[in-house]
Amino acid sequence: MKYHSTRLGDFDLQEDEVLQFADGLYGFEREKRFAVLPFNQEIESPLEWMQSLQNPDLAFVITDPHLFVADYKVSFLDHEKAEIELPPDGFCLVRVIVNIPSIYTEMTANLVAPIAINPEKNLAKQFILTTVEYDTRHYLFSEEVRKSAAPGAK
Amino acid sequence: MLVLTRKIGESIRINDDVKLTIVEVKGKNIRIGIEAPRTTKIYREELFWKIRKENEAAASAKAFDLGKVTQLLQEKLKKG
Repeated sequence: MKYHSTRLGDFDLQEDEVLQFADGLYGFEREKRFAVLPFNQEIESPLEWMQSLQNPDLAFVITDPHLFVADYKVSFLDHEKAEIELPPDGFCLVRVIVNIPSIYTEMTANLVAPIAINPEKNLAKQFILTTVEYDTRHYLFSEEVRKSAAPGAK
Repeated sequence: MLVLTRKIGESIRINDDVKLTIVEVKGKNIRIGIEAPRTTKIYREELFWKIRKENEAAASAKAFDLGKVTQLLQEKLKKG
């Protein structure tokens, strides 16, 4: 089926490729259907777009937190896995939402509310972690890089 | 909003399986104990709103240069 994204243009998606959020996302509870699309058509990137199929204007940038935070430990409880139809020992993908401000090196990821994905059934849910001390704005770039970026550098 | 008055040590039961108890009152701080099934999500209201606001901020980020962002990240991941 054909869909349109304000940022990315038209794209095709099979029904079994639709990422379904039964409960939407925090603040976007009615957004239940998304497509995961490559961030950049030309080059490979650790980022991806999570484009709403209901609202062409709505898209989130997501990434695998383990690429940036080596010791990011998130283990979902059995009942949380059950919410995306995963058995207790089932494998789930973890993604976090990235916020890209005008100074790119200051981009942050929300490590407190990761998204768990059942990759086989394409079911997803955003969970709030309450047992660990993470940031909703975790810088992806080191302080060194951020300090050396010229003001207003793009 | 349902508002109930409790004394220290008294409780409120929600949905049969959730129990709130006023544990202690110290000045302006009130310590509340919560007994609930493991499957119950419990967090401070501010955190709930913080997550919502962060999602909204991420969703409404201004347009950016995809190529430049990717380039910066590739450089970073190469360095490790």
